[in-house]
Amino acid sequence: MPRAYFGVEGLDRNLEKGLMYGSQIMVEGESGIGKTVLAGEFIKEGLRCGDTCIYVACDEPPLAMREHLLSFKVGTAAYEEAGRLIFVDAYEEGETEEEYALADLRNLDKYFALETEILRGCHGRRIRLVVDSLSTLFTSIDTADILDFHRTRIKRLRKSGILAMDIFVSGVLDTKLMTISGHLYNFILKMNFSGSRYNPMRMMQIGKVKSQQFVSSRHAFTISPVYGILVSAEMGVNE
Amino acid sequence: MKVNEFTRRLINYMQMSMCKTMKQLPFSGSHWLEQFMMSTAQYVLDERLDELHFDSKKPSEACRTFLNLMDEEGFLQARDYRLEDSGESLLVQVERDNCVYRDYCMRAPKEGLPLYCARLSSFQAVLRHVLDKDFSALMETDERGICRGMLFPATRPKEEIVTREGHILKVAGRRAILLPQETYASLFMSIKEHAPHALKHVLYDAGFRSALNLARKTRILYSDPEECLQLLLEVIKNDGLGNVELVSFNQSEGRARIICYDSFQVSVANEYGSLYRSPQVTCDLLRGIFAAYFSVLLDQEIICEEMSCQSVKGNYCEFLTMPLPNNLWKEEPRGGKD
Repeated sequence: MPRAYFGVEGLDRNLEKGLMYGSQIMVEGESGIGKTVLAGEFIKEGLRCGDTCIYVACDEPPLAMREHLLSFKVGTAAYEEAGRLIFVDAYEEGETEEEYALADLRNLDKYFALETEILRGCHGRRIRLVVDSLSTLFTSIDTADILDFHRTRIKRLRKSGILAMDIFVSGVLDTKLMTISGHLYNFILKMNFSGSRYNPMRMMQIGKVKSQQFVSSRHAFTISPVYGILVSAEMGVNE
Repeated sequence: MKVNEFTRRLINYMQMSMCKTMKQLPFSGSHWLEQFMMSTAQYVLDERLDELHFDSKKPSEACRTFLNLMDEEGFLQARDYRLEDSGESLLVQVERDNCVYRDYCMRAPKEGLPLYCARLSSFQAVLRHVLDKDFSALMETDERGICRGMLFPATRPKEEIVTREGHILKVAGRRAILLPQETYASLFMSIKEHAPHALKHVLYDAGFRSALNLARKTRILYSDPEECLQLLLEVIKNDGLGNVELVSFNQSEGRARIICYDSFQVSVANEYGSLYRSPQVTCDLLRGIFAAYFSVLLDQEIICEEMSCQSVKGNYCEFLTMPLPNNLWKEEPRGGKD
């Protein structure tokens, strides 16, 4: 089975063996840091590799990701027609033209059922699933229910060999919940602004939780309108 | 001179062997064959110029003068040929059995050789001599063995024509180099090492820019986009980038499906290793070329996706083109010299 990559040079360089299909990635970052851009890179890479990519749009209508991909000259229509790019509208609640939409944004059972239905329809294919952002779906849900949903869902995704990227906006969910959730993922990618207020720098850390510690490598990055995310050299290891 | 049976056979064998040789040339075989045949007629014209009186600028009359000379020499019978002017074009008709090149004409297709009517080529030489104009030729033979040909003012850009002047190699009159696979692979392996993030963009953009100029020139000459496209796709084949076929083309929607067998980039990936970490579509140069072709043909920005690739399991590479929505269409200052 081939390994997968993010499609971001610099980040991929650090993943010597790549990502296994069936892995789950937690992306956590501040608003405006570039989480959706990273999701776009992940999808672009998937489409080039022949994967079927599913994008669940929770924070903006699916059109925003379509236009984002088109701005990078990715012909989304061709992939959508071939059934290799699927958008799920989890934003507009009932006023959507998308084939797949979540009618009740506060009901995790309904989300789980919809995700199951879509994944079943793609059976036998290599799948990348991006939920942007999962934290939005969890906003008004009880912590115990979230963890329960998390465990069941991730177990199912792992078993089905789905390569999933779940995006979380920093500060939306309780820190304790985020820490516990982090243990369920194979990789954690944290994105944040650093540096001074007048000269902010974008930073990302990719790593794993090992023995209650987040072991990661840290990189500065920028966002180019042509190349997408550009990662600079590694800036050391944080523990 | 009377053409006896042996002389006739000899002439036909010469035609056959020229076609056989030209077929093996890597570049511009058909152009050189045409030149070969025209040049033969030019020798006759030069030799007998004093006797030939081209009083009229009408293509039919100029060619009739030439036919009469050949008739006097016993090479053919001028009355067998029907010549008729049609605007700037010349229509020619002859029964194949009355043509000295009959054997070649019948054998060449059976042996998979290109067929070029030597008689029309001689008329091309005459018309160039008399009218100082290049003419293109078309010929077809019906089931009754009647050959119908047409000579019309040449419009095709001779982009594929490779020439050598001393140590200078030229394509379409402009200096060129022959790039072996190894050099190409080294170039892109080097970009992979120094700027891996730019690789796909470099290939796509290089394809786009390099194709724009030719597409624009060809578009001026051909009003029908499909005809223009077929010619452009032929250039890709001639350049050795792959054996491309247009599967479908919907002009109003800006959609087309093209397949390519034996893409050059797939061959490079197979021999020198993939440019990318994971197995994926690799023909970004062709993607860029198609995007440029269709953007010029349809006068709107067209993007192109490679949906499957021979480098990853596919039997061929498949490309789909589609328009970029207007709100995302940014005019960029790209493209070669006009």
